[in-house]
Amino acid sequence: MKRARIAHRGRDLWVTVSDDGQRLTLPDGTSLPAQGAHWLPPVQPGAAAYALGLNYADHNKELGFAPKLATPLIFMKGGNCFVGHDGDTPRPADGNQMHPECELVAVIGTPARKVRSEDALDHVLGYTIANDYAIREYLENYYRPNARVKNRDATTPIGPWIVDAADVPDPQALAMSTKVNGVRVQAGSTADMILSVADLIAYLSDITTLMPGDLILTGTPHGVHFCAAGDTVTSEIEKIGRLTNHLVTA
Amino acid sequence: MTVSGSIYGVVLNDRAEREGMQPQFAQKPYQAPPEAPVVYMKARQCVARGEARLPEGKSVRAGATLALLFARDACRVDAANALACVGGVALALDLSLPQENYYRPAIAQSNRDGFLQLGAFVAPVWPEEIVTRIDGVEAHRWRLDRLVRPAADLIAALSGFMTLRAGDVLLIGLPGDAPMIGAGQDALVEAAGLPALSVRMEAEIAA
Repeated sequence: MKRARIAHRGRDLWVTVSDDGQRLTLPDGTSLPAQGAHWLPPVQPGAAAYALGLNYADHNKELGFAPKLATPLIFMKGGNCFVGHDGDTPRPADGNQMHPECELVAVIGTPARKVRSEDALDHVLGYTIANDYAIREYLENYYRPNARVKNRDATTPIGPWIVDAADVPDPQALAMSTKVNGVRVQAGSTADMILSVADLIAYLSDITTLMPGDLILTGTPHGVHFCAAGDTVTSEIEKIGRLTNHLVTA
Repeated sequence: MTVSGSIYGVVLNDRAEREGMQPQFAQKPYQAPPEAPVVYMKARQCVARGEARLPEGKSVRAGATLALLFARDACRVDAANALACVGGVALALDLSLPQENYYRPAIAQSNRDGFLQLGAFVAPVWPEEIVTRIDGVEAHRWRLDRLVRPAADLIAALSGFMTLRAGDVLLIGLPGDAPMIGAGQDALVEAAGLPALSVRMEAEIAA
């Protein structure tokens, strides 16, 4: 099953999405066409969002880093970052090196504390897609990637929905891609993650208790492509869906 | 009004620490002094009051600071209007295992459960200094005029690229000379006009 969060007649509602993505069912049973829905980030307010840097060996090589870091590079993202499917992301006038990053997102379903990798996927509620844009001009070598790069308002499109974990039995075998104005600029597979979803849950749960609704953005593969205002950017992951975003002048 | 959003903090906002690090800023891994505020985040799961559990055999750095709770969104505000967005102030004790440097985010060191001890929020007051006692003995005292960016300037700088939203919390800076504290010790954080924050450090119970 797929679940989305939409704005509907003055409320934000979690709705179920038909398998073909065409119909939405509201909690009261009303059915609506998905076309024209106002998609919100499928994120629980206050959820912790952890994001991975340099978790794909081919991307690390492209950026001039070692294939595998000694310590996983993990940062957090604030609620201000997220914007729903078909939303707008501001592209600063001086952000000439702004590039999309297609990422598989695991949504936690049950508290996870000191779990082993073998058991970790039992704690996943489902999966969604994020496009964790970066703007390389704003990089500084302090808590890098720093907030000015990764914590800007509405620069992390996420959605359109959460697909139940049961419908994604192997999160490490999903093709992923980014298209800008219909042209493919990034392609990869979740098979190439350095730390798998299960490994990441095990690692983080050794530090803290992952709680229901918490998110892990698992990193992005090879393919850095700089975008312009006016571009339409589509992030796609097999078995999950397709997330669209519009870059606008800021 | 409550803490319903994201929890942000900044490091390298202590003038004394920055002056001490000046020679390092030009070298690897930094290569230039910091320009924007250096932001970290804590998860809601980090927040506790009264007791912290430390990993077996480890001491932690205990940085006393002010936590600001936003009542209104701060988006591109100037310093003159920044504090009007703040609805509450509390004492906070930010705990972290020692960090090798400030190059990479320190999630493993700083984002453990209970590693942000947060006192009670009251209507904004702006004390001149914060005192930390460990087992009743003064262990640290810092004047907030050491802040490179005082609260209003910090909010203005951050809000230029990220909105601090109603319900978010901002920790305004950590002292570079924060004391270490270990299991079995008690910390008491005090500042004029704010409810004191008392924290007992215990060893983590092995699973």
